[in-house]
Amino acid sequence: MLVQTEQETACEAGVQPMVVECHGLTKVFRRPFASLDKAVCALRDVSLSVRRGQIVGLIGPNGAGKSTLLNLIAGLILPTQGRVTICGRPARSVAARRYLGFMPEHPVFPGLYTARAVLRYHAALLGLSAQSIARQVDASIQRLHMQEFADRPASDFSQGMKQRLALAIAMMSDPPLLLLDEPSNGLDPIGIVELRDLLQQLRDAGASVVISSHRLGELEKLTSDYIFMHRGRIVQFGDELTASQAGQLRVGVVSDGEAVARAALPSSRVLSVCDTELMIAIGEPDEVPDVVRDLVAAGAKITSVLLRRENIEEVFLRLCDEGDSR
Amino acid sequence: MQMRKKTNIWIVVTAAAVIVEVWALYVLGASAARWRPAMIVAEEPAARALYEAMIEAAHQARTLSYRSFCSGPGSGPSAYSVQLKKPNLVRVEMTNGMSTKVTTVVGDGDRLRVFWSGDRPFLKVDDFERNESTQSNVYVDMAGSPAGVADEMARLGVAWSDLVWSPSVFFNGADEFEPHIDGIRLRGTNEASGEECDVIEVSYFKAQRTRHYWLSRKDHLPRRVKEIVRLADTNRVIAEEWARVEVNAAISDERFAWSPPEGFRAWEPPELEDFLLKPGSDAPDFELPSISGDAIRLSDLRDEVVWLCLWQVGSPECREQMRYLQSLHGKTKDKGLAILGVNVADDRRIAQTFVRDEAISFPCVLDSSEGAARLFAEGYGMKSSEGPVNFVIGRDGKIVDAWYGQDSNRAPAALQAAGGQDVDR
Amino acid sequence: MRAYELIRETYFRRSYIWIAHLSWLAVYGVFWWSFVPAKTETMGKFILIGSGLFLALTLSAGILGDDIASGRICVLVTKPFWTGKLYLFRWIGLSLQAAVHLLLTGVLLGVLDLLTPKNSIEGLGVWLLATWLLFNAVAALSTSLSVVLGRAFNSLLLLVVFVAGYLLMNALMVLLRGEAGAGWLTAFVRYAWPPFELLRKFAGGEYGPHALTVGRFSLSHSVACVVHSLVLTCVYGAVGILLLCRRQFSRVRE
Repeated sequence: MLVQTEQETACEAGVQPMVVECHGLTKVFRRPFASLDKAVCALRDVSLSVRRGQIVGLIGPNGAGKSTLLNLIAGLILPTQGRVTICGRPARSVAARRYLGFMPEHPVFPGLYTARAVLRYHAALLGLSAQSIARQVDASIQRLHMQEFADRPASDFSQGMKQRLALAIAMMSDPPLLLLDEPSNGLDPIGIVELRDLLQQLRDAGASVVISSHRLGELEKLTSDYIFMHRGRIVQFGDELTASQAGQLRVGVVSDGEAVARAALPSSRVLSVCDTELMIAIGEPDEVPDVVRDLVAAGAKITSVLLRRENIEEVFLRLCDEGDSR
Repeated sequence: MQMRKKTNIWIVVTAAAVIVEVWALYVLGASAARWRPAMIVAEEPAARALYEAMIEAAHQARTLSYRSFCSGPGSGPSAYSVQLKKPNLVRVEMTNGMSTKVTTVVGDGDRLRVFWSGDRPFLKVDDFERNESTQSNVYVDMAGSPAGVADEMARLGVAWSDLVWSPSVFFNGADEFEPHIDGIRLRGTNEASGEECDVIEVSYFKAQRTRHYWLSRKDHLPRRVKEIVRLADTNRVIAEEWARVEVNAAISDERFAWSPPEGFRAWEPPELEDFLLKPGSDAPDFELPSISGDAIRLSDLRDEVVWLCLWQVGSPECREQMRYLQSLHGKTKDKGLAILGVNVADDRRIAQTFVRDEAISFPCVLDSSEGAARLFAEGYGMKSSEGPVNFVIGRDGKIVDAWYGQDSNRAPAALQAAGGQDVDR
Repeated sequence: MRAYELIRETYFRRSYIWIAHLSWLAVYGVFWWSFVPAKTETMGKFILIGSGLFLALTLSAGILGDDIASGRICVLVTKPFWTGKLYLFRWIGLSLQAAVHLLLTGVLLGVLDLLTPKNSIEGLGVWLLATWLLFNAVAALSTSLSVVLGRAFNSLLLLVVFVAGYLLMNALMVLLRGEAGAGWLTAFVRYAWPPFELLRKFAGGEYGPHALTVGRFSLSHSVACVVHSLVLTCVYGAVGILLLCRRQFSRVRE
């Protein structure tokens, strides 16, 4: 199961496996003294929960409400309606922040501080003792491979270095919940692989991660659980699980491809057809043998069979189209 | 539970801060300094003895010289160099603030001469035209005794801050306020001018004025004098600091002699009376609150001859004038003479206390607002508020006469001219 | 450690901070050497305005506004401590900077006093104390404004308000002379605005020589002045903390 519904959350009440719980979140942005018709509803009645050890990707087009949701969970903004809890504590409370590590999209650091000094600063803000701070700083530098630039001033950093440092800050003291906004910005492919390994380690240790990203291809490498958002609402992925495993079957035939397709398959499943090649929509890989058998039974002389799965980008675009058309 | 404890702590801290702030605002505000009956000092024999010792020391000294630095929060600092020699020699040099211009007053008995180190400054009695035409190479030669040197300097308005301790005490005279002392008490000891001094507090006119004297244990003369005059909305404070005090040191008589240099001419400063509204002028009408609160309008008294008297509680001459006017009011009531007192300076309670104590029954205006002060300063031409200022206004609303002080000759004549009663002094 | 880091950060948040400190010390030195003030009051007033006002504005420019404008605040307010501490420790950092600065000023003027023929540092300590109190109040007001205004606009706005307000107030006092409004205006400026006049009187000893009491300094007036200044600072700070804690921080890209 990708995303627990509110009902499932209620069933597990009392056990507290949930790290994040959002109930009926609505957020309306309105400038002071502006009229109501100029208000922007960024989130509408969003309910979700993230359990322990889950890595969740937040995806959606621009204006879907991803950042708003992330900011609400982080406690940076207050909901117009609804509530958010982190490990059972209200999101904006000091108690909830103990469980939280946040990485913003464009991290900024004081220019005169080195990476080491920034880590020390943030470790101190966590309330660690002097000895713990020193240990934590060294561990963070090791973990994120920042040895080369640890003692350089932050004003000299590239985007990738800033991302690593911001990630190190968020991960400091291993919080149960990590909120990462575009964590792979500026990271090279090696960096992305390292990030994935890190997140998996965190997951194995029981931490939960919510990632907001536009880079769907990279998100695919980091997680397989998604929350798709569109126009301030969550689109349930229940059916999309099946859909993400959907694909296209390319079948090569000797001849009479069109006649065979008409005879063997419903027209809705035939994506394209020519004399020697058929493109057939497949719901899941288990359907392939049945499709091949039906084609053979219809007299097709099959020369090749190739299954191509729908990737997350194709799902994303399909859902956007569906969302716009609704 | 912990939340409630934290909330309670916050409530306590906030309440304490509010209380402390209210106290601070009270202390810093004007109300803390307002006149209260408790300010009237009760007599203490030991303190009186110190005061008498100061007077005696001044009387006994043959010469006295000192530097005096007078300043107040509402007036700039003035520095004086005072030299006094019995029987009747005085020399006072005065500079204001950072100025290098010295005003010198020398006196040798009957006359006082005032001269300056350069052009004379703009004085209280000046206007631009007069100042421009009589600025250079002038001196003043006027009748006056050494004992009155402080008063004359105050009248001319040469200093930003006037002397508090009057040199008249040295010349076997008395401080003009001495008959009006309520009481004297000890305020302990304190250092002044590098010497340990006994401090006494003297209140006058039922605490309309208070002076603190820091009296040296060496010669019983002051090292610091602080005067607080309680006016309507403010307290006028002048602190006078003494330094380089020398008693019975030799001072040559030449110090007190002065002849005008070649080319200098005597300048006669105008009398304050010259600025008052001239006879025949219309007396500006006004409607001002009385001491009891209701309004008094001058034009309501059009059918009568009006004697308008501006007075202050802290002026012995004004007090005397008010007593006289009360007796006159008793004799001439309902006989076509209306007496109207006007007080634009004093604290309300101080003025009310005086009026009650002296059983003043004629109407008195009491208004310390800027508007009232401006009316009499500009409308009636009152340049100085020292001493009573009298206006006799005829039935036609025009000025018949105006003068400063108690003048036994002016009043009857003015009233006669106005068609009023004969005044029996 | 948290307090230490937050306080330490105020020293390094902008590169010109050290320049500001050294510049003002140099200015005081030059002023002393050029004018050799005959009275402590001259130097004291200069220090009161220089460090109490201008240095406070310089050091507190964008103290929270920079973080808010750059988005750095988003990470800071997700740390597990009361957001008000962010305000509090940064203000303490400014106050400590001022204390060190004024101590150095005192040392500098003490040395210059030994070298110059005249000497007039008697009572300078009170002036430095008054300056520190004024600095605290102005810094608190500026920091509170910084919660609302981004970047360094808090300092700029305060500077403009002080200058324009001073001119406007003088004009109003002339216009309202004798009216009740003048009293209210005076009371507002005296008690609700940073206490320039009160602290000047406190340091200048006007509460002493001209106090309605015996003694060099009127203890009650001086204590009242210090108390009022501190309470005013706390009020400014409380407003700023409240605003900061209730403020929402969004880097929404919608």
